[in-house]
Amino acid sequence: VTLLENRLRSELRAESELITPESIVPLRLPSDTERAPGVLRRRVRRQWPPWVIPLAAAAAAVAAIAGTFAVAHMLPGSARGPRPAGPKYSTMPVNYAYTVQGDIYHYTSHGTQYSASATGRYLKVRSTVTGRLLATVLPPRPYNNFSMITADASGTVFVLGAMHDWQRYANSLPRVFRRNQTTPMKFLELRIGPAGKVQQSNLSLPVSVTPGQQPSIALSPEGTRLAMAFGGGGAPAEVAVVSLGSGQVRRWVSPGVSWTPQLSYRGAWTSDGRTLALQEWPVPRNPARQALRGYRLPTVTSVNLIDTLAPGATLAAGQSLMLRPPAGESAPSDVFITPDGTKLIGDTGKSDFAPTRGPWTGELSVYSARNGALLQRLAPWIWNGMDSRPGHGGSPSELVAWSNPSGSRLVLLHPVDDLNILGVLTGRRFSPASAPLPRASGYQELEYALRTASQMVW
Amino acid sequence: VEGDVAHLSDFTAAPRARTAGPAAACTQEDTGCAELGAAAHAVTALYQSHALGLTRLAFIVLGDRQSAEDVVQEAFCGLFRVWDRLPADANVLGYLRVSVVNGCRTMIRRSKRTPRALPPRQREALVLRYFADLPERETAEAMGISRGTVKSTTARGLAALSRMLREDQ
Repeated sequence: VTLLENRLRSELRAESELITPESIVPLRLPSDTERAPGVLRRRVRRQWPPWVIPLAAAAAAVAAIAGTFAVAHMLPGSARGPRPAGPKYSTMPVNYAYTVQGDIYHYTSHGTQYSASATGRYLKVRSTVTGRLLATVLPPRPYNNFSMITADASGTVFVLGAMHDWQRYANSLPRVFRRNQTTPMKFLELRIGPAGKVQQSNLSLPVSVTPGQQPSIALSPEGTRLAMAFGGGGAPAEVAVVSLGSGQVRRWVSPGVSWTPQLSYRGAWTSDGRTLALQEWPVPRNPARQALRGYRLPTVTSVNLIDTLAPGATLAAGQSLMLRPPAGESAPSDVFITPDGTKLIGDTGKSDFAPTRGPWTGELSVYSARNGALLQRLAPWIWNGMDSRPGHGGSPSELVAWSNPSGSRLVLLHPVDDLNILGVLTGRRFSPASAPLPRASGYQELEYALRTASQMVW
Repeated sequence: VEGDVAHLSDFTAAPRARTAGPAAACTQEDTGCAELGAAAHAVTALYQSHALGLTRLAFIVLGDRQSAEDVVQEAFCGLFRVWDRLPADANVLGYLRVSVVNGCRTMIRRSKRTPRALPPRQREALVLRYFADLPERETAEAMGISRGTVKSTTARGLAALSRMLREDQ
């Protein structure tokens, strides 16, 4: 039945996408005189359209049988009940995905030519236990870069955001590009069946975002809702939660803020699918070189916990927390909320690294999601950065990929001996790739990919 | 109306931001509802948020784009007519969903259209459960039947689909 249900879901969604957001006709409301006055009167009941009658009948029935559960939700005074418990997070997701570094592009900015690599040129999906490669996915042409990947808690549903990131200059030398900030992003969904069969489909979302809006996405634990954060930097900052099945959207908007809202692809939702952790990212948008010269990393990180079941339509409706780093370190970044919603985890470190000034140091800082207080520091690392051994060098990357409910066991990428390696942090003990993370054949490639691309979801 | 919208179910909170401004995204050019006041603004904002999902729902049930659009338009016009009588905490999205499901039934009855591969109720149940991702309780509300009937109707629909797939193969 599960296979049939998955196929049914997929086919219904494919069929529904024949109705595109652009094809929705404008609403034509009747004139105001056709509206009934504010008090319900018996004589106007006959004028109601036929479909109102069952609703009125249901209301009458419930008035007679108070507390009838099946229809109470439709009636005044009913409160939305708690959602069913979400995924238990007792086991790791069955699959993981990561992007792979792609081509080197030469691009121009401020009149100067630079080179850069497209880090999400394509994406791979592998089985957690065996490391078996299940899919290699390329962005649909003319898109050329996956800049966003996110997954549900089970590791069977992935959403990918494809960016038409590089545009060739007209009549330019070959392979000279500029960044494309305005073409709307394209979203794809991957569903992985129990036997590892991959179904790929395009998502037609009612919310359109462009790379210039600095978007980020996070799929809900049960895989049915996609949170999208974008805007800010002087423009309105927005978070939208889209139901992938029906296309329904709930939005939170704050006008004209200086920061950019940012969701972690891996740890933005609590396991009950109710709370979203949103980081307020104070990086200047499209800064001039002069502005960048004076730019300093932020000293605190603002996190907004949004209760998606509570009323409110602005980001101010959420609970705001200020996360302060340990003394002398940079503010936490890439903040991850534990599935039980009790802690926030971010990576912190000394930000003024330079080879002549000594090693770069950092760790994970764990904060209370109740008041933002720093609770503990975990997994410290040292990075010399001068290691010339083959495969060494690069930059340190401490990245939480998965957490059990309380955050007492984490799977993370952790800098050890000038290498970022994958392992499990239990309490304060880091074990490279041990149970529940067997050394699967794909992990070496994942580690390598993370040294250069740093995008993965578990 | 502004205050009312703030207390509606979670799905209706978003339109409140759109209705807050003086222009409120409701102009003669794009909606034909200018000068109709706060109810029009609120219903138009709801339409902007939910028309796509509801039109897709109706389209899957009916299999016809024009009919689906008509059903959804009628659902929103109906909501507009009764807007002032709605209690502050009414589940407007649930109300619209019921309207759309009933509108589809009426459309099927009136047009005497050939039913799609499955009986209409089974198709409704499968669409609400597997396309709209509604839990059994909300599916029951939208269809006006009990949860037990939702379970049995869904099971029968899946069994029929499975049978058809086997026959196809």
